Amino acid sequence: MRTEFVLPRSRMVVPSSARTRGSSLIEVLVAMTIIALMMVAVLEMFSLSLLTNHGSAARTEMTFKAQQVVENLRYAQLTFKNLGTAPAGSATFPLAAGTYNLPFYSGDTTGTNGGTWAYWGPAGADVMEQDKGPFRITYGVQDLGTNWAITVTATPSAPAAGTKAYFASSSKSKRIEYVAQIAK
Amino acid sequence: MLHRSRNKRRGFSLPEALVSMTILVIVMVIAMSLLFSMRSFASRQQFFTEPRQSSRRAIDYLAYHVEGAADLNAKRNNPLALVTWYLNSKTGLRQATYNSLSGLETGNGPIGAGGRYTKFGDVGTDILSVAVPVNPMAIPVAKWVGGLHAANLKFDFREGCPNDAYNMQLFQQLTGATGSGNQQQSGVLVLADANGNYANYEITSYQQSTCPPAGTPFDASNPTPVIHVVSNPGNSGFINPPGGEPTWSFPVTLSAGIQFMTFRVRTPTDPAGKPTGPPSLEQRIGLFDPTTDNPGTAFAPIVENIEDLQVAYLYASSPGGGNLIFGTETTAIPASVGALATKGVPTQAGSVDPPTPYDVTNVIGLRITTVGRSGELPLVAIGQKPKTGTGATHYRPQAEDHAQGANDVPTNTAGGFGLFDHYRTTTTLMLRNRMLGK
Repeated sequence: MRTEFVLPRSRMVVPSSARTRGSSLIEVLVAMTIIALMMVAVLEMFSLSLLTNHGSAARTEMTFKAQQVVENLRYAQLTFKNLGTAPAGSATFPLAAGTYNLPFYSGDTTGTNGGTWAYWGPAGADVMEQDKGPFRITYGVQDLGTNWAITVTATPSAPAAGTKAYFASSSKSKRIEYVAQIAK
Repeated sequence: MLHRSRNKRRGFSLPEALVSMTILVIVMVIAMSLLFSMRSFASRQQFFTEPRQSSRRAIDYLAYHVEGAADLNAKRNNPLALVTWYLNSKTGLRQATYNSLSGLETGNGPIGAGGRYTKFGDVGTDILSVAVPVNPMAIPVAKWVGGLHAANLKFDFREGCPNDAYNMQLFQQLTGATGSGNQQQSGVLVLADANGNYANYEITSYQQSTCPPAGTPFDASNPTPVIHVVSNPGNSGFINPPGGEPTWSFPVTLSAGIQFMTFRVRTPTDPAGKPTGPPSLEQRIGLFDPTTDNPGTAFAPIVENIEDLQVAYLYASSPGGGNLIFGTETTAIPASVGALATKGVPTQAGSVDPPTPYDVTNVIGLRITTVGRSGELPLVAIGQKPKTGTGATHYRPQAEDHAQGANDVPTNTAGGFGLFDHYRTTTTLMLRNRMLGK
């Protein structure tokens, strides 16, 4: 004997006197699949916003650091003008047109013509807050006659062993350029 | 479903219902795991963002005031733009800017037994006082009577003329008058003479305005006495810069529209030292007063969830022939310079006393560090974080001469980890008004 399992699918009264039936398995499956896809899409937006936020945070941090580089160069230039010397390790003075790299880690001497870790690192200006941090910084100096034009460029570090790269792939494509003038 | 039709209809069969429910459960499990995962991500995102936002917001707020700090005394390169000390005839020298609060400062004391909080602010944090032009105006003194403690002064101020009442009202607004009637008193003001000699000044009574006849021209060499005020040191706060009583040269001007502002970091606590709110960057209008700001009511919280404020001083020339930056992890201002005890902050001479090499007038920039913190972390989030090394963010990170704090924030009892994420922001701020003309 066949057992009919009757579900109170709805309390509504089926108004039709025509032949009616419940949802078929296929219909239920299709409906659920659609719902699942929609939920995944919605949840994916959370994920996307997370990545976007991390990208924005990375950009903000690098902008902040670029500003700090300019302000330190301003200070160094001022003391150089007043005293004939700039703070040790800050930069090469007198400034000259060119591109300069800040050290990336303690003991970094590869192409770091923009100063020393002692000055720019955590015990100094604190622009480079940690060894092999999530960004690299270079600055370009352009001679404008009475002023120097300083262009600071911050780029996310490439993922590598021992390097603290920014989270999320979108952050890695961020690049900051910050321009300022310093009086000679 | 109830059969209401006479036609053949049926509900789900048991296998259909079982399959449907199984699929539903599977979909729900997937969806919920995604949802919880996203919630966890969002939570971590919040803990990631909060300390950064609060720390940068604090730095932005401080930068706005510090970069523009000035006392309008260009002749002396704005000597009172930063105020570390000031003189009060009642109690002597008072400190306005502090380095690394310990609770042992004059007028200060620890709160509770945990060694985390003092009456002035949180242990190890700094206090900074600056002069900020908010509505700057140099008002000429009509006649300088020759002594610093001149009780009666008259100013050539006529912005509100020919209406005397309105003119006096404008003058009172510019000088930050508080109180009413004969009890009105100005804020702390700055007077400077033709040679840049300067002093703090307080008006203790506003007398009257006497507008000149319409069309009277302004003559800088012979200003018209319009506003009459009294400065009675016996009733005022006695606030003067450390140093002396200069013999001043005419013309003398009043720098009005300048506000002294003080910043500190403090966690509100009950008397036993139990926090009653989050630590905040606090600000007061006026110089720090150790006799009343303990903690007092003059400070208002500006940015919440700030655990540290550190100030390093960038000198224009090296005081000791070597380092230029002091108040750092490795370089401190000497405990005493000559006969002066520095308490770790620059000395501050008056307008006559020769400044020492460590004098605050030799400071042209500040390196300011703030540490922001997140809301309280759930234990699961703490477990995901590195607990030691540079990546550990549970404890307030080291900043300048304030060591990393393993014991100065509440920790969970299980692992001993701090309950908050932290983020340190450092910025270098040049005092624009001290850089100009250099």
